[in-house]
Amino acid sequence: MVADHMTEVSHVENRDAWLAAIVESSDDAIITKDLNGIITSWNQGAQRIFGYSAEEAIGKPVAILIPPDRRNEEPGILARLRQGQRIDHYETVRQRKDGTLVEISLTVSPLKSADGRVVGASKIARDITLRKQSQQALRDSEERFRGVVDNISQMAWTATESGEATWYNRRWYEYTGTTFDQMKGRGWRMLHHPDHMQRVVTNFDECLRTGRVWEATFPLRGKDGRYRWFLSRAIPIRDSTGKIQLWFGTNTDITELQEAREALASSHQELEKRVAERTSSLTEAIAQMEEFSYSVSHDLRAPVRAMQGYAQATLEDYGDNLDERGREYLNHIVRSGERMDRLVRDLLVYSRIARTDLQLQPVSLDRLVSDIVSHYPEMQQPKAEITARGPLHSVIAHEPSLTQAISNLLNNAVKFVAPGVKPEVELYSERQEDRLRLWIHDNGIGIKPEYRSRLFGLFERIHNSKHYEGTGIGLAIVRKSVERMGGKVGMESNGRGSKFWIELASAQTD
Amino acid sequence: MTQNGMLILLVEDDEHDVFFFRRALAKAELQFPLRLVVDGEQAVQYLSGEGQYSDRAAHPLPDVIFLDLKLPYLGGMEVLEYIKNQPALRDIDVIVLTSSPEERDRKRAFELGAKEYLVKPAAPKTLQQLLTIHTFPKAEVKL
Repeated sequence: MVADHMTEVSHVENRDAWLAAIVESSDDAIITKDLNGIITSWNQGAQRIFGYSAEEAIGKPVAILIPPDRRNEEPGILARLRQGQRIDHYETVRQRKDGTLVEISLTVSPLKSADGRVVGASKIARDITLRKQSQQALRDSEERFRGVVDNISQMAWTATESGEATWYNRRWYEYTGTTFDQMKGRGWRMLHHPDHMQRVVTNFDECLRTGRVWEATFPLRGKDGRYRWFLSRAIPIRDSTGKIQLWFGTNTDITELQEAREALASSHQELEKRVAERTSSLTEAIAQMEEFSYSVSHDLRAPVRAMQGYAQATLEDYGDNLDERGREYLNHIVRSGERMDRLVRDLLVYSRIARTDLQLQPVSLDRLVSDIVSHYPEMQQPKAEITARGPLHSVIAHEPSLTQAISNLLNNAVKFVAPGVKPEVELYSERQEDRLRLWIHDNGIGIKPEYRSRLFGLFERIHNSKHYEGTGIGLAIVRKSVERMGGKVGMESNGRGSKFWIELASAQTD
Repeated sequence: MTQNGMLILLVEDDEHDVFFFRRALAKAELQFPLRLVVDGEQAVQYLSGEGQYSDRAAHPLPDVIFLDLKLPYLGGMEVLEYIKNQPALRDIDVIVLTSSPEERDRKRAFELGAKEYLVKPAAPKTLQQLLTIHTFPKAEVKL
């Protein structure tokens, strides 16, 4: 029994010591006071927060901790205590021994005697200065963030993970003229253009579901009722577990960009249209040109032919009645007529070569040259000698055009020789990779270097017309036709005749 | 075939070309009778025996036609097309005699059934070859 009692006492004593140890080691200030507000106990935590030691504080009114401007708080707290009420986490300010203020969270509970009467109160005060500071810092940082985001030229907003709007920046309200009440939830839909709404919402929901960054371009209605184009972007902001807490989005006005793009597109269209118009007027001009060439071949040649024909007829029928000079005059008319007729025909050939579509295919130069020579008695023995040194091979060409070019060159080769010299022409070919160069080497009068640049021009004549007939179109035809076949022409002259060449794609496949 | 040889119908609007054609015939010593019409419409009237040509005895069908291409009213190509579509005229040889050396004209003329395509002026030698060697054997078969 005694032992039991002792055990119980020691147990009770132990428990008190244990509780006292908890109270003493607490970071919070744990204070008790009686109903008159006189401090009855004071722990280490209280000393740390308020600066008074237990000896200094116990027996003093609790009012020593209350700053002068908060003295009116205490009677209210005491009144509530007397009624047995508890005060939980009341945030207020208290004064330390050194007079500085400390922010605390206060919990006050009535202390009751065994018979239930309220005899005092326990106060637990927690120093919340740090918490307050970090809250303030958070508020400041949020303030700064809003300050920045409110003043950017873009519109910005936040939304929940399900896409309900929670906040918009100032620029948003300035542009849209709306209020947050209109916008909250999915109220923002009212600003979308009906033609684009479905696309935008579908796209946005897709990103909400997948957590992918949202990017879209669409028009939004301004307070003036007009739509402007925005490039919109939103990123998910996640907590430490990776769960999406909110979406932060911006809308950038790209109307001017869009307008510039449209202007560019329309000016491009305008350009295309103009090109089409020009092309069609060019086509028309070409058609007219062809019509003109056609008329020239019919109408212009008719009177020339008539003059020539009548002069010839006069010579034949009445030549005996004329003296030598009369016949010479008529001969001049005949020759001039022939020359005019040849000029017109050559010009027609030139214009035809310049405008026809050329179908290219392999052409054997050996066969082509022999065909040409067989057509012209002045290229054959005994008048001239044209020989090929080795096989000439084949090229890719348009046969009628190549025939025209080579016969013009051969005609020149046998025509431009010194009086009394028999024309001798040698042909040979040289392959250079995929090209083939046909050389035509004559024993003619050659061409002075200073005239060579003019050689292939239209109407260029570099030999005296008294001795050497020509229209000045022949070599222009050669160049035009070879160029139309993707080839080149050129010449060399070393004092012993001229060496003309034509270069075209080789038809050999090796 | 007439008694005097082949009957030629010349379709030509240029009087000088008519002169040169007659002269070339004469030089080739081809003394064939020749009828002249001066435009495409007249050519069709002559060949169909209409209007002033309704008397076939006075305006018999020719054995050979020399046809210019550039003609007033109906052009030479249209005359060729007309002839091609008339079964009664099928045996008549049509020789185009034009100042056009254009390949497209030559091609079109042959497509429309021309027998020959000559670029003016017609040389006596060419006419002789055409009207004796080319056409005579056919005429002999007819006889």
